[in-house]
Amino acid sequence: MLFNSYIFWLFFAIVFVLYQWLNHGWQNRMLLVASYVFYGWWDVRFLILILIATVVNYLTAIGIGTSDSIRRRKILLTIALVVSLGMLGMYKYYDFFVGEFVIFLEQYGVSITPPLIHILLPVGISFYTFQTLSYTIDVYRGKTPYTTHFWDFALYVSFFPQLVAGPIERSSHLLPQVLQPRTIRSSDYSEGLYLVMLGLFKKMVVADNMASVANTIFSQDLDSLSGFEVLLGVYAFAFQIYCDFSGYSAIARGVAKWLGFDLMVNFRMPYFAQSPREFWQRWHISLSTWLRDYLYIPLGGSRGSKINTYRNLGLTMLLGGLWHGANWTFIAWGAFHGFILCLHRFLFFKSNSTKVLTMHSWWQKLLAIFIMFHLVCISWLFFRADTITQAVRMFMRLFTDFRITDFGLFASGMIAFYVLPLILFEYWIERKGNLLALTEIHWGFRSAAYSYGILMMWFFMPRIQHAFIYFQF
Amino acid sequence: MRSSISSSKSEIKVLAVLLCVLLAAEVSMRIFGPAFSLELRRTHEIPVNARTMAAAEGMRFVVLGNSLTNAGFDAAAFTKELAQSGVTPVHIQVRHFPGSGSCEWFHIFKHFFVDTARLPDVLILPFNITSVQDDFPVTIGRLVNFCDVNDIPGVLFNDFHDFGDRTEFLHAYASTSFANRDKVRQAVFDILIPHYHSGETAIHTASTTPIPDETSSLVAGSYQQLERLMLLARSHGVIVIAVPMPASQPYSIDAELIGIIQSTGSLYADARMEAGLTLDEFRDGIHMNRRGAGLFSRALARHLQAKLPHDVE
Repeated sequence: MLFNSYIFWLFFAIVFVLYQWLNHGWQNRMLLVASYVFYGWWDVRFLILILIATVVNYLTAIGIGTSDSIRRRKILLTIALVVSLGMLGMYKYYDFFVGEFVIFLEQYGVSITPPLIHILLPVGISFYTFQTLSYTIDVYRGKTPYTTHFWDFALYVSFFPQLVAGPIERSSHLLPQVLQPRTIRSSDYSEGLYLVMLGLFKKMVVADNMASVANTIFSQDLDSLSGFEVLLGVYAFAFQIYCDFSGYSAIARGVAKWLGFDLMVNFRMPYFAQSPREFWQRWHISLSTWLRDYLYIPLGGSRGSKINTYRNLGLTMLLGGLWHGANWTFIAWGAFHGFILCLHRFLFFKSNSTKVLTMHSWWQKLLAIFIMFHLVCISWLFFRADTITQAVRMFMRLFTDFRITDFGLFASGMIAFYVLPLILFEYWIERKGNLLALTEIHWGFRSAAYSYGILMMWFFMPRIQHAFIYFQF
Repeated sequence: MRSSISSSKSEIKVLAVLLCVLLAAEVSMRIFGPAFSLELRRTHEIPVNARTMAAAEGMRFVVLGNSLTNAGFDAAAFTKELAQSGVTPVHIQVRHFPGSGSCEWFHIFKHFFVDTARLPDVLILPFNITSVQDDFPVTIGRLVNFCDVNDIPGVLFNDFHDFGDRTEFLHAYASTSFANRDKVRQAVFDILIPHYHSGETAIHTASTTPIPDETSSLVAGSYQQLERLMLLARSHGVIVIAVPMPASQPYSIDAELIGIIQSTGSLYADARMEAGLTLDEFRDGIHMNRRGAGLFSRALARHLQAKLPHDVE
């Protein structure tokens, strides 16, 4: 059930109408049933996994919260981690690592045939695993109280707007909203409308149209591609993945607002970042803050020597890459981001906390944005390619054959048509410093912006609609 | 409280403007649509030509196909070749819509020829193997142009098996601007985007599966849509001729399809070998060039000479 499908909006209309008639307790029960219907729509069997994650984390958190014994608390936390990460590892990484191990052994003349499970990856497993774990770890750390309301906790784990592709919520933010009665202000409706419109526009107009361009270029025979086409293919993918994912997050936030929930902001115009560090403060914020709080800081963060900080950054980004999937291309993507974060820290930071150089003039900022965007594009090349070899060969193409081709001109026209208005809009938002600035201007201007969005969705939605990229993670 | 009321009011104004914008788009499309869309003009021509053909004397042919027919069927060469063998006069109406298959052909034939009782004597269906399989994608926005309100239940139950497709069909049926959004997009991009047609072709080629060649293992498909079309035509006494179109790589026709053609009393005319085409007669892997179209259409006419009645009442 995709956000850009008719069936989802029929489903949501039913949920929304029922929601208005019910009191808080019944609202939660109805939302839980709706969330399970939403998730079971992909495959009913996946519900077993989400139920296991819910029950295990619910019980271990109660055990941790009610126990004074440090040893017992640690054992319970370990159980929660092993079960949650075990399920994730089993479904997401088992075949990959076993396959790689077999290849490794074959190089030394050892041939083994271990069993592979070949199971379809449950949608959104990485998202709800991280969200559930954050609750148990926070209870362990004493940052959040445990809850005894099982059904409310189940709703926290499975709340349908953000279940399959985030934002990865924290228990301290979302759980109180589940437990307390919610009020919906009229501004929630207008902000929800804005977020849903923006999300649908980003997904249906920009991401899906850029997908056609990127898919065509990435599926071409490498020898026939010019460097110009490679560059445009990567640009197209950069905006495809940004609009696909941030579009999903925006719709999730908008739909949640209509139900009285406030989900965290997941994107803040990431391509205006001037440094790798700033990029991660703007891109997939819910994951980057999760990795910061539950991995980078426990590893030592930037508290130790410079070398230790580089190690912690590198490890965090490597695991961030692996979180996306069991493929060397994702690992390379994470490693590249780890490398540029370390390089940036090395060049621009005197000590772990003191910054040496800050961009002041407009041209310095523009140059920094330009460089950062292209560094991110290099990482997308690895992310999108089927193999590292393909990524490297495509990258080399940029410097060996930069013919301006007909398809390249076509692709640049398509990118300009779909992406430029979005960049201008985001520039305006950036200048305003308010993500919801459009909801606060005169209704006439807002009508004009929405009219542009709806006409683009009406007439320029491609015939082939693509699934959200992050569903596979 | 006051600010929340004014916020609600302004949101209602915004929604009202959006509704007006969509309404304006709808009215504009209904008035000006055919002026800028060749496909819409072609669709509007079908009933006019069907009326003319119904009133004419001689053997009447309707050819329904897709871009393969557009590229590979030369009506003038076909007619001339038939005339030389005594099948004359011939009235021929060729209707081709890119990316169409047997589902759309069924509705074109039913809506414009059967429902209006303007039947041809012969229905020719040039095809490649994928376009007549049931899982061939249907262009929903275009299909609504071949249907009227009475067809809706049939379309919803027989042609679509997915909630999304059914809803999109109803949406497209209710809104001409939504149904024909592809034409708006094309008209805008023809002006704004350099090399738009070749770029779209490259995207289309990259996203579609190539035609299976002789050496590949052919997966038998299901052909209920084609069977339905053939049975409809045969039940009205129309001769149906299924014509496999040449491709640069030879491909085989699965036995299931041949069985359906025979069981519906249709004819199978495979003139691919007789046309003697070489790679030079193709402009890409599957579409013939002008010379190829001439060679193939003449070969097809010769192939059909013995199968067609020479006198038509």
